[in-house]
Amino acid sequence: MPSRRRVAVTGLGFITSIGNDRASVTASLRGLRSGIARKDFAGPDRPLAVSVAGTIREFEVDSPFWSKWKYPAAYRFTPNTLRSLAPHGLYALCAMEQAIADARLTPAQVSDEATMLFSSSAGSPMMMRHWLNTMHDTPDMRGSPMGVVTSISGTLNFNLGTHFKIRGGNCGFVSACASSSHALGYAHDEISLGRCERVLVVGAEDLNADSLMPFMSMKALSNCADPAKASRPFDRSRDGFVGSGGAAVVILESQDAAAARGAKPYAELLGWAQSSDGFNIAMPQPEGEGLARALRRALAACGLAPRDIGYVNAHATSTPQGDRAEAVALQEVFTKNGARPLVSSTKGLTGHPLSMAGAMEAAFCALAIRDEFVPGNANLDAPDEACAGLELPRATLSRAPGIVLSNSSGFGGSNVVLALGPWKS
Amino acid sequence: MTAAPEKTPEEKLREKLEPFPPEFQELIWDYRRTRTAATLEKIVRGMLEYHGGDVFRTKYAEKQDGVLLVEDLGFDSLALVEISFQAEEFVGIVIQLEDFPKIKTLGDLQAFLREKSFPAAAAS
Repeated sequence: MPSRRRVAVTGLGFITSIGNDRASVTASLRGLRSGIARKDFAGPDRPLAVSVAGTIREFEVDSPFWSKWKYPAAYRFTPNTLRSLAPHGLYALCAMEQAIADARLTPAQVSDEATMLFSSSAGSPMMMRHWLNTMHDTPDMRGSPMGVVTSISGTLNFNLGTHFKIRGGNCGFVSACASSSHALGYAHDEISLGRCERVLVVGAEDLNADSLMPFMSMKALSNCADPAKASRPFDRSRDGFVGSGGAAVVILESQDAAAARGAKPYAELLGWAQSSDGFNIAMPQPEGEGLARALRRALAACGLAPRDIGYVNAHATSTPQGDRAEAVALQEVFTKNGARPLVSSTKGLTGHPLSMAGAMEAAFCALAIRDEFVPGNANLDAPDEACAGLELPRATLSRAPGIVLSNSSGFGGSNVVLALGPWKS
Repeated sequence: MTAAPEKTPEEKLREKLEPFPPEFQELIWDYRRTRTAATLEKIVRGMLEYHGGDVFRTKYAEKQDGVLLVEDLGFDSLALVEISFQAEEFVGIVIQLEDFPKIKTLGDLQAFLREKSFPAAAAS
Protein backbone atom coordinates (compact mmCIF):
# COMPACT_ATOMS: atom_id res chain seq x y z
CA MET A 1 0.00 0.00 0.00
CA PRO A 2 1.43 3.44 -0.87
CA SER A 3 2.31 5.66 2.09
CA ARG A 4 -0.40 8.05 3.07
CA ARG A 5 0.00 11.77 2.50
CA ARG A 6 -0.31 14.42 5.20
CA VAL A 7 -3.30 16.76 5.08
CA ALA A 8 -3.03 20.46 5.92
CA VAL A 9 -5.73 22.93 6.91
CA THR A 10 -4.90 25.99 4.80
CA GLY A 11 -8.01 28.16 4.74
CA LEU A 12 -11.01 28.97 6.93
CA GLY A 13 -14.24 30.88 6.41
CA PHE A 14 -16.95 31.76 8.91
CA ILE A 15 -20.49 33.08 8.85
CA THR A 16 -21.48 32.14 12.39
CA SER A 17 -23.38 33.38 15.39
CA ILE A 18 -20.09 34.38 17.05
CA GLY A 19 -18.66 36.23 14.08
CA ASN A 20 -18.61 36.59 10.33
CA ASP A 21 -14.85 36.47 9.89
CA ARG A 22 -11.85 34.77 11.45
CA ALA A 23 -10.83 37.69 13.65
CA SER A 24 -14.22 38.14 15.27
CA VAL A 25 -14.66 34.39 15.74
CA THR A 26 -11.26 34.16 17.43
CA ALA A 27 -12.10 37.10 19.68
CA SER A 28 -15.41 35.49 20.64
CA LEU A 29 -13.77 32.15 21.45
CA ARG A 30 -11.04 33.82 23.48
CA GLY A 31 -13.43 36.15 25.33
CA LEU A 32 -16.34 33.68 25.59
CA ARG A 33 -18.55 36.16 23.74
CA SER A 34 -21.88 34.51 23.05
CA GLY A 35 -23.67 34.60 19.72
CA ILE A 36 -27.02 33.65 21.22
CA ALA A 37 -29.81 36.23 21.18
CA ARG A 38 -33.58 36.53 21.30
CA LYS A 39 -35.36 35.51 18.12
CA ASP A 40 -39.06 35.66 17.29
CA PHE A 41 -39.40 32.65 15.03
CA ALA A 42 -43.06 33.28 14.24
CA GLY A 43 -43.21 37.06 14.61
CA PRO A 44 -43.81 39.26 17.66
CA ASP A 45 -47.52 38.44 17.87
CA ARG A 46 -47.01 34.71 18.17
CA PRO A 47 -44.76 33.90 21.13
CA LEU A 48 -43.35 30.39 21.17
CA ALA A 49 -41.81 28.25 23.87
CA VAL A 50 -38.50 28.61 22.02
CA SER A 51 -37.33 32.20 21.80
CA VAL A 52 -33.54 32.24 21.46
CA ALA A 53 -31.08 31.22 18.76
CA GLY A 54 -27.51 31.59 17.65
CA THR A 55 -28.40 34.39 15.26
CA ILE A 56 -26.42 35.49 12.22
CA ARG A 57 -25.73 39.22 12.24
CA GLU A 58 -25.60 41.42 9.12
CA PHE A 59 -27.82 39.07 7.11
CA GLU A 60 -31.57 39.44 6.52
CA VAL A 61 -32.64 36.31 4.70
CA ASP A 62 -36.05 35.42 6.16
CA SER A 63 -37.79 35.88 2.80
CA PRO A 64 -37.90 33.09 0.21
CA PHE A 65 -37.19 35.78 -2.40
CA TRP A 66 -33.53 36.53 -3.09
CA SER A 67 -34.38 40.07 -4.13
CA LYS A 68 -35.47 40.81 -0.55
CA TRP A 69 -32.23 39.60 1.05
CA LYS A 70 -29.71 41.91 2.66
CA TYR A 71 -26.12 40.91 3.26
CA PRO A 72 -22.81 42.64 3.95
CA ALA A 73 -21.61 45.03 1.27
CA ALA A 74 -18.23 43.28 1.21
CA TYR A 75 -19.89 40.56 -0.87
CA ARG A 76 -21.55 41.17 -4.23
CA PHE A 77 -23.46 38.50 -6.11
CA THR A 78 -25.49 38.84 -9.30
CA PRO A 79 -29.13 37.78 -9.63
CA ASN A 80 -27.91 34.87 -11.77
CA THR A 81 -26.06 33.56 -8.71
CA LEU A 82 -28.65 34.47 -6.09
CA ARG A 83 -31.78 33.13 -7.77
CA SER A 84 -30.97 29.47 -7.17
CA LEU A 85 -29.81 29.85 -3.56
CA ALA A 86 -31.37 29.08 -0.21
CA PRO A 87 -30.44 31.41 2.66
CA HIS A 88 -27.71 29.04 3.78
CA GLY A 89 -26.37 29.03 0.23
CA LEU A 90 -25.76 32.75 0.57
CA TYR A 91 -24.01 32.19 3.91
CA ALA A 92 -21.90 29.49 2.26
CA LEU A 93 -20.89 31.65 -0.70
CA CYS A 94 -19.66 34.33 1.69
CA ALA A 95 -17.77 31.83 3.87
CA MET A 96 -16.24 30.23 0.75
CA GLU A 97 -15.01 33.59 -0.52
CA GLN A 98 -13.38 34.19 2.87
CA ALA A 99 -11.74 30.77 2.98
CA ILE A 100 -10.42 30.99 -0.58
CA ALA A 101 -8.93 34.42 0.14
CA ASP A 102 -7.57 33.14 3.47
CA ALA A 103 -5.84 30.23 1.73
CA ARG A 104 -4.63 32.60 -1.02
CA LEU A 105 -5.99 30.32 -3.73
CA THR A 106 -6.42 31.69 -7.23
CA PRO A 107 -9.63 31.06 -9.21
CA ALA A 108 -7.59 28.76 -11.45
CA GLN A 109 -6.49 26.66 -8.48
CA VAL A 110 -10.04 26.44 -7.12
CA SER A 111 -11.19 25.28 -10.52
CA ASP A 112 -8.37 22.91 -11.36
CA GLU A 113 -8.96 19.19 -11.80
CA ALA A 114 -7.32 18.34 -8.47
CA THR A 115 -9.77 20.37 -6.36
CA MET A 116 -13.00 18.92 -4.99
CA LEU A 117 -15.98 20.35 -3.12
CA PHE A 118 -17.61 18.43 -0.25
CA SER A 119 -20.64 20.00 1.34
CA SER A 120 -23.25 19.36 4.00
CA SER A 121 -26.63 20.87 4.71
CA ALA A 122 -30.12 19.73 5.47
CA GLY A 123 -31.39 21.61 2.44
CA SER A 124 -33.81 24.43 2.98
CA PRO A 125 -37.16 23.51 4.55
CA MET A 126 -38.25 27.15 4.18
CA MET A 127 -37.65 27.21 0.45
CA MET A 128 -39.17 23.74 0.08
CA ARG A 129 -42.33 24.84 1.89
CA HIS A 130 -42.60 28.01 -0.16
CA TRP A 131 -42.18 26.36 -3.53
CA LEU A 132 -44.40 23.37 -2.72
CA ASN A 133 -47.14 25.72 -1.51
CA THR A 134 -46.79 27.65 -4.74
CA MET A 135 -47.01 24.42 -6.71
CA HIS A 136 -50.13 23.22 -4.90
CA ASP A 137 -51.67 26.66 -5.30
CA THR A 138 -51.43 26.44 -9.09
CA PRO A 139 -54.17 24.53 -10.96
CA ASP A 140 -51.74 22.49 -13.09
CA MET A 141 -49.29 22.06 -10.14
CA ARG A 142 -46.69 24.02 -12.02
CA GLY A 143 -44.13 25.15 -9.50
CA SER A 144 -41.07 27.33 -9.89
CA PRO A 145 -38.16 26.11 -12.00
CA MET A 146 -36.01 27.18 -9.04
CA GLY A 147 -37.94 24.97 -6.62
CA VAL A 148 -35.58 22.00 -6.67
CA VAL A 149 -32.23 23.76 -6.85
CA THR A 150 -32.98 26.15 -3.98
CA SER A 151 -34.47 23.54 -1.69
CA ILE A 152 -33.20 20.01 -1.65
CA SER A 153 -30.22 18.83 0.32
CA GLY A 154 -27.94 19.05 -2.72
CA THR A 155 -28.53 22.79 -3.06
CA LEU A 156 -25.04 23.64 -1.80
CA ASN A 157 -23.38 21.26 -4.24
CA PHE A 158 -25.37 22.60 -7.19
CA ASN A 159 -24.76 26.23 -6.44
CA LEU A 160 -21.23 26.30 -5.03
CA GLY A 161 -19.94 23.79 -7.55
CA THR A 162 -21.21 25.97 -10.39
CA HIS A 163 -20.25 29.33 -8.92
CA PHE A 164 -16.67 28.28 -8.15
CA LYS A 165 -16.35 26.14 -11.30
CA ILE A 166 -15.39 23.01 -9.34
CA ARG A 167 -14.05 20.30 -11.69
CA GLY A 168 -12.29 17.76 -9.46
CA GLY A 169 -15.40 16.35 -7.77
CA ASN A 170 -18.55 17.61 -6.09
CA CYS A 171 -20.27 15.59 -3.39
CA GLY A 172 -22.71 16.03 -0.52
CA PHE A 173 -22.82 14.32 2.87
CA VAL A 174 -25.90 13.57 4.94
CA SER A 175 -25.55 12.19 8.46
CA ALA A 176 -27.55 14.83 10.35
CA CYS A 177 -25.38 16.71 12.83
CA ALA A 178 -22.29 14.67 11.95
CA SER A 179 -22.55 15.56 8.24
CA SER A 180 -19.78 18.07 7.80
CA SER A 181 -17.48 16.02 10.03
CA HIS A 182 -18.05 13.12 7.70
CA ALA A 183 -17.28 15.48 4.81
CA LEU A 184 -13.98 16.44 6.45
CA GLY A 185 -13.13 12.83 7.17
CA TYR A 186 -13.69 11.66 3.64
CA ALA A 187 -11.92 14.76 2.30
CA HIS A 188 -8.93 13.77 4.42
CA ASP A 189 -8.98 10.32 2.87
CA GLU A 190 -9.30 11.58 -0.71
CA ILE A 191 -6.20 13.73 -0.23
CA SER A 192 -4.34 11.18 1.85
CA LEU A 193 -4.89 8.48 -0.76
CA GLY A 194 -3.69 10.77 -3.54
CA ARG A 195 -7.01 11.07 -5.33
CA CYS A 196 -6.91 14.86 -5.25
CA GLU A 197 -4.78 17.69 -3.91
CA ARG A 198 -7.37 19.89 -2.30
CA VAL A 199 -10.93 19.74 -0.93
CA LEU A 200 -13.12 22.70 -0.05
CA VAL A 201 -15.34 21.46 2.77
CA VAL A 202 -18.43 23.47 3.64
CA GLY A 203 -21.22 23.04 6.16
CA ALA A 204 -24.16 25.43 6.14
CA GLU A 205 -27.69 25.70 7.50
CA ASP A 206 -30.66 28.04 7.33
CA LEU A 207 -31.80 29.60 10.58
CA ASN A 208 -35.56 30.11 10.60
CA ALA A 209 -38.77 28.58 11.89
CA ASP A 210 -38.82 25.91 9.19
CA SER A 211 -35.30 24.70 9.94
CA LEU A 212 -35.64 24.70 13.73
CA MET A 213 -39.20 24.49 15.00
CA PRO A 214 -39.58 20.81 14.03
CA PHE A 215 -36.97 20.14 16.72
CA MET A 216 -39.21 21.90 19.25
CA SER A 217 -41.83 19.23 18.63
CA MET A 218 -39.20 16.63 19.51
CA LYS A 219 -38.53 18.43 22.83
CA ALA A 220 -34.94 18.83 21.69
CA LEU A 221 -34.74 22.64 21.99
CA SER A 222 -34.14 24.71 25.11
CA ASN A 223 -37.17 26.54 26.45
CA CYS A 224 -34.98 28.95 28.39
CA ALA A 225 -35.72 32.52 27.28
CA ASP A 226 -32.47 33.95 28.61
CA PRO A 227 -29.86 34.09 25.84
CA ALA A 228 -27.10 34.13 28.45
CA LYS A 229 -28.19 30.83 29.95
CA ALA A 230 -30.08 28.81 27.36
CA SER A 231 -27.15 26.87 25.87
CA ARG A 232 -25.23 25.26 28.75
CA PRO A 233 -23.51 22.07 27.63
CA PHE A 234 -22.63 19.63 30.42
CA ASP A 235 -24.47 21.75 33.02
CA ARG A 236 -27.01 20.03 35.28
CA SER A 237 -29.69 22.55 34.37
CA ARG A 238 -29.39 22.18 30.59
CA ASP A 239 -32.76 21.63 28.93
CA GLY A 240 -32.10 21.30 25.22
CA PHE A 241 -30.08 22.80 22.41
CA VAL A 242 -30.24 26.33 21.02
CA GLY A 243 -30.47 26.28 17.25
CA SER A 244 -28.19 28.18 14.95
CA GLY A 245 -27.22 28.39 11.29
CA GLY A 246 -24.67 30.04 9.05
CA ALA A 247 -21.76 28.50 7.18
CA ALA A 248 -18.24 27.31 7.88
CA VAL A 249 -15.59 26.37 5.34
CA VAL A 250 -12.40 24.41 5.89
CA ILE A 251 -9.91 24.06 3.05
CA LEU A 252 -7.77 20.93 3.17
CA GLU A 253 -4.70 20.40 1.00
CA SER A 254 -2.01 17.82 0.55
CA GLN A 255 1.33 18.66 2.07
CA ASP A 256 2.84 18.91 -1.42
CA ALA A 257 0.16 21.22 -2.77
CA ALA A 258 0.35 23.46 0.28
CA ALA A 259 4.14 23.59 0.16
CA ALA A 260 4.19 24.31 -3.57
CA ARG A 261 2.07 27.40 -2.96
CA GLY A 262 3.99 28.49 0.10
CA ALA A 263 0.84 28.12 2.20
CA LYS A 264 1.11 28.39 5.98
CA PRO A 265 -1.19 25.72 7.40
CA TYR A 266 -3.23 26.31 10.51
CA ALA A 267 -2.99 22.70 11.54
CA GLU A 268 -2.77 19.13 10.30
CA LEU A 269 -5.86 16.96 10.01
CA LEU A 270 -4.19 13.84 11.35
CA GLY A 271 -7.01 11.42 10.71
CA TRP A 272 -10.50 10.47 11.72
CA ALA A 273 -12.88 7.65 12.49
CA GLN A 274 -16.57 6.97 12.65
CA SER A 275 -19.02 4.59 14.25
CA SER A 276 -22.75 4.17 14.59
CA ASP A 277 -24.94 3.41 17.58
CA GLY A 278 -27.53 1.17 15.95
CA PHE A 279 -29.81 2.20 18.78
CA ASN A 280 -32.39 4.90 18.13
CA ILE A 281 -33.44 7.33 15.42
CA ALA A 282 -32.84 10.39 17.59
CA MET A 283 -31.39 9.42 20.98
CA PRO A 284 -27.76 8.46 21.50
CA GLN A 285 -26.94 5.15 23.11
CA PRO A 286 -27.10 6.23 26.79
CA GLU A 287 -23.67 4.92 27.75
CA GLY A 288 -21.99 6.57 24.78
CA GLU A 289 -20.84 3.23 23.41
CA GLY A 290 -20.93 4.38 19.79
CA LEU A 291 -19.01 7.59 20.41
CA ALA A 292 -16.48 5.76 22.58
CA ARG A 293 -15.92 3.36 19.69
CA ALA A 294 -15.33 6.27 17.30
CA LEU A 295 -12.92 7.87 19.78
CA ARG A 296 -10.89 4.67 20.12
CA ARG A 297 -10.85 4.18 16.37
CA ALA A 298 -9.68 7.75 15.79
CA LEU A 299 -6.84 7.28 18.27
CA ALA A 300 -5.86 4.01 16.62
CA ALA A 301 -6.07 5.49 13.11
CA CYS A 302 -3.62 8.22 14.11
CA GLY A 303 -1.35 6.02 16.24
CA LEU A 304 -2.25 8.00 19.35
CA ALA A 305 -2.84 7.04 22.98
CA PRO A 306 -5.46 8.69 25.22
CA ARG A 307 -2.71 10.57 27.06
CA ASP A 308 -1.57 12.18 23.78
CA ILE A 309 -4.75 14.23 23.54
CA GLY A 310 -4.63 17.74 24.97
CA TYR A 311 -8.13 18.97 24.16
CA VAL A 312 -11.48 17.55 23.06
CA ASN A 313 -13.96 19.85 21.36
CA ALA A 314 -17.10 18.03 22.42
CA HIS A 315 -20.25 17.70 20.37
CA ALA A 316 -22.31 18.40 23.54
CA THR A 317 -25.32 20.39 22.38
CA SER A 318 -26.87 21.01 25.81
CA THR A 319 -29.43 18.22 25.60
CA PRO A 320 -29.83 16.10 28.75
CA GLN A 321 -29.30 12.77 27.01
CA GLY A 322 -26.66 13.71 24.44
CA ASP A 323 -24.29 15.49 26.80
CA ARG A 324 -24.52 12.69 29.34
CA ALA A 325 -23.75 10.01 26.75
CA GLU A 326 -20.77 11.98 25.49
CA ALA A 327 -19.48 12.52 29.03
CA VAL A 328 -19.69 8.78 29.69
CA ALA A 329 -17.86 8.05 26.44
CA LEU A 330 -15.09 10.50 27.33
CA GLN A 331 -14.76 8.93 30.80
CA GLU A 332 -14.56 5.51 29.27
CA VAL A 333 -11.85 6.38 26.74
CA PHE A 334 -9.83 8.93 28.71
CA THR A 335 -10.52 9.04 32.46
CA LYS A 336 -10.44 5.26 32.90
CA ASN A 337 -7.10 5.21 31.09
CA GLY A 338 -5.56 7.88 33.27
CA ALA A 339 -5.84 10.62 30.66
CA ARG A 340 -7.33 14.03 31.43
CA PRO A 341 -7.60 16.13 28.27
CA LEU A 342 -9.33 19.48 28.53
CA VAL A 343 -12.91 19.19 27.30
CA SER A 344 -15.22 21.96 26.18
CA SER A 345 -18.25 22.45 24.02
CA THR A 346 -18.22 25.69 22.06
CA LYS A 347 -21.97 25.33 21.52
CA GLY A 348 -22.41 27.20 24.80
CA LEU A 349 -21.35 30.23 22.73
CA THR A 350 -22.63 29.41 19.27
CA GLY A 351 -25.72 27.30 19.72
CA HIS A 352 -26.03 24.23 17.53
CA PRO A 353 -25.93 24.74 13.75
CA LEU A 354 -26.88 21.14 12.93
CA SER A 355 -25.00 19.71 9.96
CA MET A 356 -22.50 22.59 9.83
CA ALA A 357 -21.38 21.99 13.42
CA GLY A 358 -18.54 19.64 12.48
CA ALA A 359 -16.92 21.99 9.96
CA MET A 360 -17.39 24.98 12.27
CA GLU A 361 -15.88 23.23 15.27
CA ALA A 362 -13.00 21.71 13.30
CA ALA A 363 -12.27 25.25 12.13
CA PHE A 364 -12.37 26.43 15.76
CA CYS A 365 -9.88 23.67 16.63
CA ALA A 366 -7.57 24.76 13.81
CA LEU A 367 -7.70 28.33 15.13
CA ALA A 368 -7.04 27.12 18.68
CA ILE A 369 -4.01 25.11 17.53
CA ARG A 370 -2.49 27.91 15.49
CA ASP A 371 -3.23 30.70 17.96
CA GLU A 372 -2.56 28.57 21.04
CA PHE A 373 -5.69 28.74 23.15
CA VAL A 374 -8.29 26.32 24.51
CA PRO A 375 -11.91 27.52 24.41
CA GLY A 376 -13.73 27.37 27.72
CA ASN A 377 -17.20 26.09 28.57
CA ALA A 378 -19.61 29.01 28.52
CA ASN A 379 -22.53 28.88 30.99
CA LEU A 380 -21.17 25.89 32.85
CA ASP A 381 -22.03 26.47 36.50
CA ALA A 382 -22.68 23.02 37.96
CA PRO A 383 -21.40 20.14 35.83
CA ASP A 384 -23.59 17.06 35.44
CA GLU A 385 -22.52 14.26 37.75
CA ALA A 386 -21.69 12.21 34.66
CA CYS A 387 -18.85 14.67 34.05
CA ALA A 388 -17.00 13.78 37.26
CA GLY A 389 -13.32 13.44 36.43
CA LEU A 390 -13.51 15.39 33.19
CA GLU A 391 -11.44 18.56 32.91
CA LEU A 392 -13.98 21.21 31.91
CA PRO A 393 -12.35 24.64 31.89
CA ARG A 394 -14.84 27.46 32.48
CA ALA A 395 -12.66 30.19 30.95
CA THR A 396 -10.66 30.09 27.75
CA LEU A 397 -7.06 29.17 28.46
CA SER A 398 -4.13 30.84 26.71
CA ARG A 399 -2.07 27.78 26.02
CA ALA A 400 -1.36 25.45 23.14
CA PRO A 401 -3.90 22.63 23.12
CA GLY A 402 -1.55 20.06 21.59
CA ILE A 403 -3.37 17.32 19.74
CA VAL A 404 -7.10 17.93 19.53
CA LEU A 405 -10.13 15.75 18.90
CA SER A 406 -13.38 17.17 17.53
CA ASN A 407 -16.47 15.07 18.18
CA SER A 408 -19.72 15.07 16.23
CA SER A 409 -22.82 12.94 16.64
CA GLY A 410 -26.01 12.95 14.63
CA PHE A 411 -29.51 11.50 14.60
CA GLY A 412 -29.52 7.83 13.84
CA GLY A 413 -26.42 7.39 15.99
CA SER A 414 -23.75 8.58 13.55
CA ASN A 415 -20.52 9.43 15.35
CA VAL A 416 -17.42 11.06 13.87
CA VAL A 417 -14.17 11.97 15.58
CA LEU A 418 -11.58 14.14 13.82
CA ALA A 419 -8.00 14.43 15.09
CA LEU A 420 -6.03 17.62 14.47
CA GLY A 421 -2.56 18.65 15.53
CA PRO A 422 -0.01 21.41 15.05
CA TRP A 423 1.49 21.56 11.56
CA LYS A 424 5.09 20.45 11.54
CA SER A 425 7.04 21.33 8.41
CA MET B 1 -61.60 22.06 10.46
CA THR B 2 -62.50 24.91 8.13
CA ALA B 3 -60.62 25.04 4.84
CA ALA B 4 -58.73 28.24 4.10
CA PRO B 5 -60.72 30.49 1.76
CA GLU B 6 -59.72 30.28 -1.90
CA LYS B 7 -57.41 33.12 -2.88
CA THR B 8 -58.72 35.54 -5.48
CA PRO B 9 -56.76 35.93 -8.74
CA GLU B 10 -55.69 39.38 -7.52
CA GLU B 11 -54.36 37.93 -4.27
CA LYS B 12 -52.44 35.28 -6.16
CA LEU B 13 -50.96 37.87 -8.50
CA ARG B 14 -50.00 40.08 -5.56
CA GLU B 15 -48.07 37.12 -4.09
CA LYS B 16 -46.29 36.51 -7.38
CA LEU B 17 -45.30 40.16 -7.53
CA GLU B 18 -43.94 40.29 -4.00
CA PRO B 19 -40.27 39.89 -4.92
CA PHE B 20 -40.43 42.67 -7.52
CA PRO B 21 -39.83 46.37 -6.82
CA PRO B 22 -42.94 48.54 -6.21
CA GLU B 23 -42.60 50.44 -9.49
CA PHE B 24 -42.67 47.16 -11.42
CA GLN B 25 -45.71 45.98 -9.48
CA GLU B 26 -47.43 49.24 -10.38
CA LEU B 27 -46.69 48.61 -14.06
CA ILE B 28 -48.46 45.25 -13.86
CA TRP B 29 -51.57 46.67 -12.24
CA ASP B 30 -51.52 49.55 -14.75
CA TYR B 31 -51.27 47.10 -17.65
CA ARG B 32 -54.23 45.15 -16.37
CA ARG B 33 -56.26 48.36 -16.47
CA THR B 34 -55.00 49.92 -19.70
CA ARG B 35 -53.41 47.14 -21.77
CA THR B 36 -51.12 49.39 -23.77
CA ALA B 37 -48.18 48.19 -25.83
CA ALA B 38 -45.95 50.84 -24.27
CA THR B 39 -46.61 49.50 -20.76
CA LEU B 40 -46.05 45.95 -21.96
CA GLU B 41 -42.60 46.91 -23.26
CA LYS B 42 -41.75 48.51 -19.92
CA ILE B 43 -42.87 45.34 -18.16
CA VAL B 44 -40.59 43.17 -20.27
CA ARG B 45 -37.69 45.52 -19.65
CA GLY B 46 -38.50 45.47 -15.91
CA MET B 47 -38.50 41.67 -15.86
CA LEU B 48 -35.09 41.49 -17.47
CA GLU B 49 -33.76 44.20 -15.15
CA TYR B 50 -34.99 42.17 -12.16
CA HIS B 51 -33.32 39.01 -13.41
CA GLY B 52 -30.20 40.67 -14.82
CA GLY B 53 -29.50 43.33 -12.19
CA ASP B 54 -26.51 45.58 -12.79
CA VAL B 55 -25.43 43.52 -15.78
CA PHE B 56 -28.72 44.30 -17.49
CA ARG B 57 -28.45 48.02 -16.71
CA THR B 58 -24.93 48.19 -18.12
CA LYS B 59 -25.77 46.21 -21.24
CA TYR B 60 -29.03 48.07 -21.80
CA ALA B 61 -27.23 51.42 -21.72
CA GLU B 62 -24.93 50.04 -24.39
CA LYS B 63 -27.24 48.00 -26.63
CA GLN B 64 -30.83 49.00 -25.80
CA ASP B 65 -33.26 46.42 -27.21
CA GLY B 66 -30.36 44.43 -28.63
CA VAL B 67 -29.35 43.07 -25.23
CA LEU B 68 -28.82 39.31 -25.63
CA LEU B 69 -30.57 37.15 -23.02
CA VAL B 70 -28.01 34.35 -22.91
CA GLU B 71 -24.75 35.86 -24.10
CA ASP B 72 -25.05 39.27 -22.41
CA LEU B 73 -27.17 38.50 -19.36
CA GLY B 74 -25.94 34.97 -18.70
CA PHE B 75 -29.44 33.49 -18.41
CA ASP B 76 -29.51 29.70 -18.29
CA SER B 77 -32.44 27.48 -19.21
CA LEU B 78 -33.94 27.69 -15.70
CA ALA B 79 -33.87 31.48 -15.81
CA LEU B 80 -35.57 31.46 -19.22
CA VAL B 81 -38.27 29.11 -17.93
CA GLU B 82 -38.79 31.36 -14.90
CA ILE B 83 -39.14 34.38 -17.19
CA SER B 84 -41.63 32.52 -19.36
CA PHE B 85 -43.73 31.58 -16.31
CA GLN B 86 -43.69 35.18 -15.13
CA ALA B 87 -44.71 36.45 -18.57
CA GLU B 88 -47.71 34.16 -18.39
CA GLU B 89 -48.60 35.22 -14.85
CA PHE B 90 -48.09 38.95 -15.40
CA VAL B 91 -49.34 39.58 -18.93
CA GLY B 92 -51.20 36.36 -19.73
CA ILE B 93 -49.06 35.18 -22.65
CA VAL B 94 -47.69 31.65 -22.84
CA ILE B 95 -44.15 31.27 -24.16
CA GLN B 96 -43.56 27.70 -25.25
CA LEU B 97 -40.10 26.20 -24.93
CA GLU B 98 -39.96 25.89 -28.72
CA ASP B 99 -40.43 29.65 -28.99
CA PHE B 100 -37.19 30.41 -27.15
CA PRO B 101 -34.78 29.81 -30.03
CA LYS B 102 -36.48 32.74 -31.80
CA ILE B 103 -36.21 34.99 -28.75
CA LYS B 104 -32.60 36.04 -28.43
CA THR B 105 -32.82 39.68 -27.35
CA LEU B 106 -34.87 42.03 -25.21
CA GLY B 107 -36.37 43.36 -28.43
CA ASP B 108 -37.31 39.85 -29.58
CA LEU B 109 -39.09 39.19 -26.27
CA GLN B 110 -40.92 42.50 -26.41
CA ALA B 111 -41.98 41.84 -30.02
CA PHE B 112 -43.12 38.29 -29.25
CA LEU B 113 -45.31 39.37 -26.34
CA ARG B 114 -46.61 42.41 -28.25
CA GLU B 115 -47.65 40.30 -31.24
CA LYS B 116 -49.38 37.75 -29.01
CA SER B 117 -51.09 40.46 -26.96
CA PHE B 118 -52.10 42.74 -29.81
CA PRO B 119 -52.50 40.51 -32.87
CA ALA B 120 -54.67 42.99 -34.73
CA ALA B 121 -52.08 45.75 -34.40
CA ALA B 122 -49.36 43.38 -35.52
CA ALA B 123 -51.36 42.41 -38.62
CA SER B 124 -52.21 45.96 -39.70
